[in-house]
Amino acid sequence: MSASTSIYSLNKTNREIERDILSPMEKFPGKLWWFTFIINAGLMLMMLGLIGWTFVEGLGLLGINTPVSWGLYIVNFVFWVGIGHAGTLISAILYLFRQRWRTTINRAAEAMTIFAVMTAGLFPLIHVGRPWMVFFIFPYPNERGPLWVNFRSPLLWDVFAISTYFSVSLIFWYMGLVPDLANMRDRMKFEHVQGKISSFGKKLKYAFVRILSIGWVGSGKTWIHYEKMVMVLASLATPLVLSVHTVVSFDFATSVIPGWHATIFPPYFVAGAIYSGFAMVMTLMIITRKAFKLEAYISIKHLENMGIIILVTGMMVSFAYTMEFVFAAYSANAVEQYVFINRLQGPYAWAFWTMFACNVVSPHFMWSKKLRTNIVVLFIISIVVNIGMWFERFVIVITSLHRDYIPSSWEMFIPTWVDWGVLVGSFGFFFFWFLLFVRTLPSIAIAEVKMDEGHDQLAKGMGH
Amino acid sequence: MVSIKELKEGLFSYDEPDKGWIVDVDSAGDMLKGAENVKKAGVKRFDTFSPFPVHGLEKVLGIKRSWLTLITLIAGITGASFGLSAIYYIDVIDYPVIFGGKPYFSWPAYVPILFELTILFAAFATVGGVLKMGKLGLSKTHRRPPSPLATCDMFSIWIGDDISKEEVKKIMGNINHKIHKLDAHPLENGYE
Repeated sequence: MSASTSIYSLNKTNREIERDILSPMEKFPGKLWWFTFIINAGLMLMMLGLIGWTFVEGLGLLGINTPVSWGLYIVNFVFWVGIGHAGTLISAILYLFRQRWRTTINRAAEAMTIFAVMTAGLFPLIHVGRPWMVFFIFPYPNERGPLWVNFRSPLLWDVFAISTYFSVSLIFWYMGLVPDLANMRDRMKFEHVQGKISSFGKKLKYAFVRILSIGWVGSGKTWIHYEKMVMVLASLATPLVLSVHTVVSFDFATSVIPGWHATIFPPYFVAGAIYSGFAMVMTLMIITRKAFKLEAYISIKHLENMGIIILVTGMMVSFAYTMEFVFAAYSANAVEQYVFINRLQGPYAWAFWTMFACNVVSPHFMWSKKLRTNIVVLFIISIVVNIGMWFERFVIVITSLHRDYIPSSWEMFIPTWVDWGVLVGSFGFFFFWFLLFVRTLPSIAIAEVKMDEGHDQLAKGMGH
Repeated sequence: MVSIKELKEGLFSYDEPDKGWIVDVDSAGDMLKGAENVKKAGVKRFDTFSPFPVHGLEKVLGIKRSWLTLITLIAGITGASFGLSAIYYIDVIDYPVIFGGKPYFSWPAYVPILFELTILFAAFATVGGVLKMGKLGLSKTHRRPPSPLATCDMFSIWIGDDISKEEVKKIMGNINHKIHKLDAHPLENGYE
């Protein structure tokens, strides 16, 4: 028995684990849930309304102009894709490194990935100007020549990367859910047998879990293939997640805009993505554990580990910020140098310094054991880091574009209320899905928790 | 090198219980011991049912390893070569255009797309392989679980050979167990 085993052992029976995780979903949602759900659904509807309006009126409703043709939509896109990365890091990379503490946060983090990528995916689609022609981005034989897409363009790489990332994350997450759905199915079946299920709602729910559990019965032979599949998908998702933000950074790095054209971009973006993603996981986990009384499963130790990852990735990001300035200074390129001076002192200096305070300064509170085991501190830091990471993307996209080579073409970018409305609404969209998820599907991987517990007990020789 | 026979064995399928006995045991450890006894007794068709994958299942089920990875490999190669040939056809044969003074077939620029296609094909084929070999899918949603609470907290062994209840009892030896006829499990007394 390894040392880590004893730290994360729950000493609970299988039935207790299942009851703890499933029972919050079996009750009618409380007032708090409805309150947050209605607010977020409202924000989502507002966003959809604003998007519909830009479809009718055109992108003139947004703040974008000639030098700053990538506005808040692209800032939001990069931000949300980045959020998604922590989920895959937890479900795949920490799995391969045999980090046992990931077990209980894995499912919710992966769900977060899916919803974050869904949110991210909206932005390029609504940014293209004529979204009804967005299917042009897919290379299929067509009657326009055939006119094909440009396979050498990072924007097309992005189409492939994001759609692959979304679909692979989705099947990975769903296959992880199958044993737990079967567990829900069998648990409900016994309520059926005992005559407790009568309402239409419960019957509907039973049909839902029965269909989604695709006939899973827990066969040993299937488990052997299944275990192999989890390992294979984790090994595929690991390079995939690194490739996704690398490709997103290529959107910037391969263009000759000063401030973008840097070889440090891929690792810089990946580190930033994990940094912001872990901050978001922490925000969500702190709320979920409290709301569903899952403190035993998502313990302070888990949050502390996430705090340490935030510290490490925060320092990587700080290093990248510094290196950008060094590159600019060393490049002897006046335009490149000006862009970075402009970041420090120009009209968007407030955005740069917000980013700097949030991303470079705040993670260092995690050095202190006292602070990183304090939930209030962790919650505040996680929000601050998210704000900082949004501003990082703002700084990268806007400050580089608004003043490039020719001063005569310089222009300020001032987001309109439609820009801000879509940003706020995107949070509504994300939380709308997340709130639905925690109410309908097990937010902790039951079979995995049972497995860890079961093997602890086997190791102790109890076998029960 | 692995032999073809080993690969074939590694792509084993779920054996759908159609007759025989379901033996409920108390724990994962007992399930492993029981299955070991069943294998030693020379029973041909048997399987275990458990809420989680128990380490050591391969050994007691007499399986060397799962060769699911073979499917992953083949699908990955298929994805990459499909992508490469499609792009070659498009960029060189069907509609050649010069971008940035590069050759028509500028393969380094295709690497990200080929990589994504490799992953996409490999991941979907791997999942498809598990669904196929585990006999899972939308047509199986009415499957009756042989061990009705194996997804919750029950550990069971299915024995599909034509042997009597007494023989099963003898095989299980001193392991605490309950024997039921398949599809005649006392569900009603099941849960909580």
